[in-house]
Amino acid sequence: MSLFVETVQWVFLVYFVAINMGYFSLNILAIMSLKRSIAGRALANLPQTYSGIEPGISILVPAYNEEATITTSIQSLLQVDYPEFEVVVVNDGSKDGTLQALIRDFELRPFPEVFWAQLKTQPVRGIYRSTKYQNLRVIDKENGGKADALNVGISAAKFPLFCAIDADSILQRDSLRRVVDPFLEDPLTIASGGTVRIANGCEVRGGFLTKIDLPTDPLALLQIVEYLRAFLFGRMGWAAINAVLIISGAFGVFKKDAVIEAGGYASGSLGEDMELVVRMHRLFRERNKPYAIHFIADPICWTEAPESLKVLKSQRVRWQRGLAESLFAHRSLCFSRNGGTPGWIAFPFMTIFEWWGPLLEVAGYAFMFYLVSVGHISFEVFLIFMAMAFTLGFMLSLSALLLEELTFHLYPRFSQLGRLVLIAMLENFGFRQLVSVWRLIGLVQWMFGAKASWGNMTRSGSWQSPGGR
Amino acid sequence: MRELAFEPVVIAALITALIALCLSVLMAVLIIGFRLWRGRVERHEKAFIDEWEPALFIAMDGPLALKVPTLSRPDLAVFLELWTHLQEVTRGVVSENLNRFLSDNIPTCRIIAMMEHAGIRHRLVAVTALGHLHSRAAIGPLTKLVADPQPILSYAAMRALLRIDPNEMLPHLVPTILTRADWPISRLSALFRELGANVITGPLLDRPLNPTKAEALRLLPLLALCHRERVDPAIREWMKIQSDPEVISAGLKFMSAPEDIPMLMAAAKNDDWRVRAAAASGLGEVGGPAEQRTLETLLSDASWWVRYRAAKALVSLRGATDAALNQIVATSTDKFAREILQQVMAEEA
Repeated sequence: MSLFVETVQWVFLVYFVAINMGYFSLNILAIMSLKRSIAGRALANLPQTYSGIEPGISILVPAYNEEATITTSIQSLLQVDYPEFEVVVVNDGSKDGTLQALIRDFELRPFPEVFWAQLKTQPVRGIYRSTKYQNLRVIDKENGGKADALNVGISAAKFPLFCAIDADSILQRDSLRRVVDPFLEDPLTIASGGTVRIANGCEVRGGFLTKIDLPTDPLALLQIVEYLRAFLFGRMGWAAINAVLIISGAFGVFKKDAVIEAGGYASGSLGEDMELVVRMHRLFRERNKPYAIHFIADPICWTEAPESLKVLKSQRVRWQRGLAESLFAHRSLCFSRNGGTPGWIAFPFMTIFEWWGPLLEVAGYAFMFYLVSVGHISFEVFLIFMAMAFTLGFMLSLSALLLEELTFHLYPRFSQLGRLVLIAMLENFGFRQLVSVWRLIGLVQWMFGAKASWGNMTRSGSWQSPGGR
Repeated sequence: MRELAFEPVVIAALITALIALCLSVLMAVLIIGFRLWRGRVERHEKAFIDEWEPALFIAMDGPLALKVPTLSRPDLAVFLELWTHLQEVTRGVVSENLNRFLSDNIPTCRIIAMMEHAGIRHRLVAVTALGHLHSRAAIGPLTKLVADPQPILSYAAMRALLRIDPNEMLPHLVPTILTRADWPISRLSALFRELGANVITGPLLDRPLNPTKAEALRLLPLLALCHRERVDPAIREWMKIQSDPEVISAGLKFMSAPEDIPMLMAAAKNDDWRVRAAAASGLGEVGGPAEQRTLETLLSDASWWVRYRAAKALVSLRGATDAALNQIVATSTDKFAREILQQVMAEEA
């Protein structure tokens, strides 16, 4: 028994050291990626001129039951700073008055457009064009889910690039210009993602972010540190070695032809954003076609984080299922002959630490609790192992805060810094473990093939200014 | 099992925890230290800008007796950034006044040294400033920097050279411009538009027109900004020997004279849909009633984009009337042709 206990302890130790060191290494890689963008910022605020030959972008907005917010969302999208773009709203069979709100507020008229179905989707019921805005179209279709709605949007898009965006994403006026930069600078680019940050606590006017601040809600505050650690510097690190496996569905730009060639978004998938990116990696590598997937570090898209445990749990369960689906579907990428950095580094890393990580983590905690409760290990030993897990987690969060400090410095007040450091410490006492349990639930649901559901993402909108959005 | 407290695994966990704790403390100290340092730098920069911005505003109007003291490198960078921002929004005499003020106060060799030896941020600022300053002394170092593998620096150096003397520099830079795929063509296009057709036409055309495919695809959008009466005949000749569909479709955009109609009509039968789509667009610009029949045929093309371009072309065709278009819709036996033409007619309505 003692050999078994010791082996488990070694596994627990090695796992925690490996996962935290892995992310710590990604933070180091992120510095390399960030170096260039930070240098460019010296002259970024000089007046920008457009040549007129920038690639046009179709902004695709899938909308399902968004009656309350769709008008303000679309109005803000119509104001982005970019020379040539169109907004294509895809009403995915909403049961509320989303379509009616759009028809009324944008003076839509039925339009005899020929819909060229380049991807298989649910039937299109009608196409509308705004008489107020030449670059706004609305496509009404049978309900088929977000991926299906995006596929309809891709078929209808008239520009070579499309930007997939959530109806409630908050952009900055220059978000499109910045996320398109990789396509201009690297002809091999097929996708470019932007950093998504948390809008809770910020001020939003007219659909655009006007003031950055921290939320007062502790759950949202916990997610700020989490986003910094995993989503910003994690992905920036992968970008440095062309191994980004996720571009957030909240904001990403893709080359339309490349996505159509890959078969579009996978309908019915819970992680359609990740699935598409992993599939593109796999297909382009299988076909030996050079490509690049970039990631912009600058905060260019803001989204509201859940402020209730129920909604957060639903989100994390869904994310874990989506991740498991995506990695399982494209497991042939892992260690494949042409797998490159995505297949040989990112995929195994994600498999061990993100896909099966929750199982190891929760089992590790549970086993340590069991051992101490039955007296197989002393309370002191138990404390040492917990201290190791907590200090490693704290160190990783602090490294993310340090990078934030060195780069974007979005929270300049000392009181803000103090709160972030405090949260980086406190999140290790329950929150990270709770998230691991939710992710384990997602993993179990995926394993037993529970029915996929989008669930309800309740938004509080507390960060919106009264006179704004 | 208390004896496990002395097992290697427990000792390893303890050491790991202690190392992680030490690193955490170190990072916390670094965060605070960096924040304090940044606060000090920002306050200093603000005070510096508050002091020098009014002086630069005065210098924009004419000679200023004020002397800039010897600046540290960070202060010099802030000064140059401030100066560059003003240069970007000024032209003519005001710009010259700013140049005179900088030349009188900051030795160019200091800016060149900054360009060559500082961090990338300061190098960028120095490169941009040297361009605005029209410093001929910087031509050598800037030319070297054009070959830098970092696109952000090399592009800035190329732009600076074109600011210093576009007529002299452009002929030397064209080969690099055509081969450096990491210099965005859209930015080059904006830059060339700013330089004007008089400056760019010669250097782009007065060289053997035998680019590779990649070079051709970069060259053609830039040629569109040149004097078309010089460019179009050259492209017409060059197009006769092209076979790559992507290049042909890009070249067809230049076929805008009646004499190009035979080439466009031939392209309308090309196997590649991109060429047929470009031909349809071209025929819409230069064609007339005689080309209507070809465009009607393209309305039934297998490619959606060709049908769409053909419909667009028919609507914009010289002499096209609503009655004639409605007649096509009424008589066409192809559902796809009717639908696409109706769509485009609604779009143009």
